[in-house]
Amino acid sequence: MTSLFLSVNSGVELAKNSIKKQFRENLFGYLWVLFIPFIYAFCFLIVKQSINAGEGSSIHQEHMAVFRAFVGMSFLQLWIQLLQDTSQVIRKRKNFLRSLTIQLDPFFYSILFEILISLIIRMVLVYGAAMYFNFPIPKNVLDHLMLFGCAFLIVGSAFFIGMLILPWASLFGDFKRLISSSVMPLALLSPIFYEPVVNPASPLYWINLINPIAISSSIFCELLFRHEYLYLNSFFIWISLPIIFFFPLVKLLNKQLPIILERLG
Amino acid sequence: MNTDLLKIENLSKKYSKNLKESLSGAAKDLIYSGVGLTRAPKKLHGSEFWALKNVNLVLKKGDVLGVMGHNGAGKSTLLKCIANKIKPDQGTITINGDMGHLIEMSAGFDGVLTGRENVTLRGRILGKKGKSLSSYVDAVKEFAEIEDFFDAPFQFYSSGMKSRLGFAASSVIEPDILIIDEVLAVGDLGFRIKCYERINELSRRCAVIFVSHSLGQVARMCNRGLYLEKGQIIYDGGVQQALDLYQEKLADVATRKKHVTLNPELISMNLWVDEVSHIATNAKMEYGKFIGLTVDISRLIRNSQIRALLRDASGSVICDWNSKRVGNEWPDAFSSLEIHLGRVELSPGAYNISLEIMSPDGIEHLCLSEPIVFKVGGVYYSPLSIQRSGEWIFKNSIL
Repeated sequence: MTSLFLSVNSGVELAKNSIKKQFRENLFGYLWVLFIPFIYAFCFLIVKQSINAGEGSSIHQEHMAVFRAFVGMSFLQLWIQLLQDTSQVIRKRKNFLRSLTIQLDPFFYSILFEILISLIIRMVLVYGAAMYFNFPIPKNVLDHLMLFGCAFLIVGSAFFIGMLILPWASLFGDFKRLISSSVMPLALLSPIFYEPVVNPASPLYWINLINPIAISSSIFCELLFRHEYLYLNSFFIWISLPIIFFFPLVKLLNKQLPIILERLG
Repeated sequence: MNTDLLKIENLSKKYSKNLKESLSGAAKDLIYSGVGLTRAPKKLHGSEFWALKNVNLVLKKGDVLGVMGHNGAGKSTLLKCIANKIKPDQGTITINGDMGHLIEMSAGFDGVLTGRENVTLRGRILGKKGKSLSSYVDAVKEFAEIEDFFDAPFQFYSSGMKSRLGFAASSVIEPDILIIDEVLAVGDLGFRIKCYERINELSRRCAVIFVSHSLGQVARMCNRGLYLEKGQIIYDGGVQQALDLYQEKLADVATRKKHVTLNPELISMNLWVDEVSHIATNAKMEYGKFIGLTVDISRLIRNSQIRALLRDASGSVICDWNSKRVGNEWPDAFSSLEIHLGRVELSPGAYNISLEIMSPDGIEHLCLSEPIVFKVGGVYYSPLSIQRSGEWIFKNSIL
C-alpha cells in the first residue's frame, strides 16, 4: 500500500512537471487539445455542406453529423495520444530509469493523470457542443454512467493496448510509426463521419465490435441522439480488460524492464 | 552481527556484438518472461561473448570495494547487474538493504525544467515528501554550489554545473549499498575534493562498490580490491595486491603496445639501476633507487640536443631531462653518454623512458628511440605519478 501511495505521489509530480514542460515548450500549451477536434469538425462541416448542397437534409441531421465527427475525432485523438505515450514510456524515460532505482509504476500513473486532464477538457467540450446543438443531456444516473464509461473505455483500452505492446515498441521503432500511421485508417473504420453500422452482414459491423473508438463514440452519440445503446457486449469487455489486467501487466513490465533497458543501450 | 549486504552467486552475463542477434535475444527473453519462464542459455551463439562469467562476491558493511580492470573487463556490466539495470543470464544477486548508485547521475534531468524542479522530482521519486523533501532540495542546492542557476532551466547549465547537480542529487542519500562508477572527475578541483569527502562520509555508513581507472582514487578510498579480466574475477582481496596486479597487467599492455619512433636505429641505450645493473625491459624496481641511461651516441651529429622523456602507462609525458638545459659541449672523442636521471620517486606503476634527439640548433627532429619499459613497486599514497620524498628537517627555532 505504501509503495502504491509512493508511486501515485511520484506519478502526480511527474505529471505536473510534464504539464509545466508542455506550457514552456509550446506557445499554446494545452490549447492544442482543443484546437484539433475543432479543426476536424470545422473541415468536416465545410465538406459535408458542399457535398450535401441541395439534398435537403434537416438541420438536426446536420448537427448530428457534425457532433458525431467532433466526438469521434476527440476520442480518436485522445486514444492515439495515450497509446503513443504508454507504448513509448521506456524509450522516452530511459535516462531517468537508468539513473535511479525506480520501476515503471510512477510513469504509468503520470500518463494517467495527464490524460485525465485531457479527458476532462474534452468531456467539457463535448458536453458544451451537445448543449450548443440542443441534444438533450441525459437526466438519469445510468445514462451518465454510460457516458462516463465511454470515456473510461477510451482511456482503458488505449492504456491496455499500450502496455501490451510496450516491450516491443521499446525495442522496435516500427510500432511508433504504425501508431502514427493508423490515425486515418481508424478514422475511416470508425463511425465518425458516418452512422454506426448495425447490420451483422456488413464486415464493418464486426470491425466496429472490436474497435474501442467505434464502440465509445457510437454509444456516446446514440445515447444523446436517440437514447439507444449499441455494441454493449464489446463495451463491457473493453471496460473489464484494463481493470483485470492493469496490475499483473505492470508487474510483468517491471520484470521485463532490465531486458529492455539493456537493449536500448 | 555483520550481515551480508550483497551476495552474488555464479553471476554470468553475455552480450552480442550483433544488433540483430541482440534484439532477437531480447525478444526471446520477453516471450519467456511473459509466460513466467527464465531463459538461461549456457552456450554462446554467433557473435555472443561472456561479459561476466561465474562471478561470486559478498559485501559486508564497511567494505569499500575497488573494482579494477581494463576496458571491456566487465566492471560496468557488474555494476549494472547489481543495480538491476540489466538482467543477468545466470546466477543470483541478493541485496539486503537500500541501494543507491552514482551511475549516469545527471541523466534523466529534463532540460526545460529548472534545477530545483528536477531535484524536487527526484526527491519525490526517492520517496521524500514535506519537510524531508524540502531539506533534500536544500541540501542538494547547498552541495552543488550553483547559486542562482538552481532556479534556471537545466539546459542552460554548463557541463560542469550539470555534473555538480547530478552528483549532489545522487549523493544526498543514505543507502546501505552505494555503487559508484567513474564519477569523481566532476567539476573543478575544489568540488572534486568535496566529492571525495562526501563519498568517504557515505562509505563509513554503508558498503561501497567503486569502479575507477584511477588507481590513486582506488588506493585512497578502498579497503578491498577486485580485479576483473574478461568478465572473470582474477583477484579479490587486499587493495594493494589488487592494485599491484592491475599495474602488472597495465605494464604488459604498455610493453606490447607499438610505440611511435623516428630513426630508432640512430641510437641505442641501456637503463641502469644504482649505477650497476642494466635492467631488462619490463623489469621492476623499488621506489628511491638511482637510475640512469647509458647511450650510444656514436651515430649522432655532434652537439645534438638530447631529451629523455619519462611517460606513465597511459603514454603521457610526466617528466623530461634536456641536455640543452645543462649546456654541455660534446668532447672531441666520444662514443657514449651517461645520463644520471636521479632517484625513482614515482608512484607504483608502469613507466617508460625514451630519447628524443634534435639537431644542435633544436629545429630538426632527428630521432625518437624505442622506449624502455620498467615498473616501480611500493605502496600507493596518492594519484600523482611523481611522488618526491624531499628532506624533512625538524628545528628548535622558529624563523
